[in-house]
Amino acid sequence: MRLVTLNLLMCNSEECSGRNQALTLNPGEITPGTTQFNHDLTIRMLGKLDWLAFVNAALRLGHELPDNITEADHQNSELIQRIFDILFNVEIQTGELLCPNCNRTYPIEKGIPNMLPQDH
Amino acid sequence: MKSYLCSIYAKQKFIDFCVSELISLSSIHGICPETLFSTYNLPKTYTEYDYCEHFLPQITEKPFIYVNLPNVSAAEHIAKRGVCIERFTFPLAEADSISSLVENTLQRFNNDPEAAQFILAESPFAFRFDTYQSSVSQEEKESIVKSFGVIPFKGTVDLRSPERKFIVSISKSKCYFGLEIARSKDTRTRFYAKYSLSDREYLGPTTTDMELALLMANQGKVLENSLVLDPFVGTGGILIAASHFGATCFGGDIDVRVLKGLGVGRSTKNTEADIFTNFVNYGFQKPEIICCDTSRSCWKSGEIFDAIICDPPYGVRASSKKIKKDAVGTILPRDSYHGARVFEDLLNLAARLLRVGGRLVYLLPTIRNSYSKDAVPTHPLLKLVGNSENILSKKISRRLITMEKLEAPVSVENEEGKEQFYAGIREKWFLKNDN
Ligand SMILES: C[S@@+](CC[C@H](N)C(=O)[O-])C[C@H]1O[C@@H](n2cnc3c(N)ncnc32)[C@H](O)[C@@H]1O
Ligand SMILES: [Zn+2]
Repeated sequence: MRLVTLNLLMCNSEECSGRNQALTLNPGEITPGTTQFNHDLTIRMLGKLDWLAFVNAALRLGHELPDNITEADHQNSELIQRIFDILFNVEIQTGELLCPNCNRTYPIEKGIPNMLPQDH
Repeated sequence: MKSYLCSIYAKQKFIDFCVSELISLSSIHGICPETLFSTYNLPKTYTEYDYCEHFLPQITEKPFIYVNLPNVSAAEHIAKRGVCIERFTFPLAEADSISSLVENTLQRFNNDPEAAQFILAESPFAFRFDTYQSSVSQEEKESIVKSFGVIPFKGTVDLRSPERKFIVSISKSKCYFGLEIARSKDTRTRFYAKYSLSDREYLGPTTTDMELALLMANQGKVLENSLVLDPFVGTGGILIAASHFGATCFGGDIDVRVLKGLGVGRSTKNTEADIFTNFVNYGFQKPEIICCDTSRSCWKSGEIFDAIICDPPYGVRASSKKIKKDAVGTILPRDSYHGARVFEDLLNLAARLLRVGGRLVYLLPTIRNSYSKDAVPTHPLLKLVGNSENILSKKISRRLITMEKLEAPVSVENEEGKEQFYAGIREKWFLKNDN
């Protein structure tokens, strides 16, 4: 799983339904990705991301990003490249996703988060 | 706008979908069906369904359709990615016999300067033959070429690498003469041969046929940097097609074994293979894969995806499973997940996650004698833009359904009866297929 996906997922427990509840990543093994830089794709994603959630997720992995992003930043190729790498080239192989609202966790194994309700 | 003759790839096993494909690919270039087929003066009220009904009956015998496209590069783009499309020609003549074909060409040459300019160009040229359901011997071909001698072609003949290819197309009832302007990259083996399922390291019993998957991606108008979701991803057959067109892909499936290659879905060659393996082998960006239940979506609401493309579980090949425990662990009634519910969930998901103008493409199983247009699932935020039938036997078929996300909801007729219609479909399909 890459950070782009973390940004698109929500907790789907009964308790959190209807909240679009974002999840927090507790990473285990992380491997660097090899996806080739794609400027247009990054710009497209910027229009869809929950930017603040992304900034926070990136920070937890040690990547600092500005609090907001403007049209003018789209020309900043160094920044766009960095955003791309954080979105697409950080591959979370193991770990868990935690819901801060209901405290449920969803495990990540072999790069695949399991969003099915777990037996507790 | 230019008028071209489109040759359909008549040997394609999904030829039933050729008209839909042509319509979808043209719409990428801003051409609506009415403009595309304006040569035929068909009623303005025609839907995609009506166009299919109109063209399909004779397509295997005479696989040619006149189309209007903005320019050669649109034709090139469509020919390059069309599964059912073989080539486009600048049409010079059409006739019932070869002798009148030559006559009509000559007449066109005398009266139309644009046509004449192709014949008078100085570049090397050659004749090529395309025959459908009629055989033409080498001698006949030579005599046909000779009969075209009355037309003053300029330039030298170069059979190996001609710059101009004049195509003589002969079918049972009609023949055509034209200059090729665009064609499928590899007409003999087709461009998708390299994706043959039998060469895949990771394969399951439900892996979607590659040609079908590409057709579906064309229906979804998948382009470079499109974001595509398959909520019933299985072994990823559909996302491989989307990746070929440059999409960034996301997939979800309830069955973790089919994703990780645990016992199912793995070819014997590589015991480590999982859903990502084929993507790596083809040099595609790896898709993002989630294990989830599509009836309890874990995707945040938003206009995220350009296309949602899938082969939903309706029995027959993959059984429908739905998790039996809810989040707090209570056992839900053992309902199997099929019938109208699957489609209802899918349409709701699409309405929630597609961008405006984005497309939902999926396969709908139908029992032919009880099918009616009204049985196709509807949603206030989704407009039906494509519904074409792929007949599998006398009794059953599957329909390729394409819907487009609307900006504002429209009212739809009441849903009663659909539940009923799809409730038994899985059982009926099983029955029909087992017999
Ligand atoms: C017809 S197969 C799709 C095959 C896929 N196109 C491929 O190329 O492998 C349907 C898939 O839906 C999955 N499925 C069944 N019920 C589901 C649910 N509730 N949520 C998500 N996936 C489900 C099955 O595990 C199966 O892999
Ligand atoms: Zn939660």
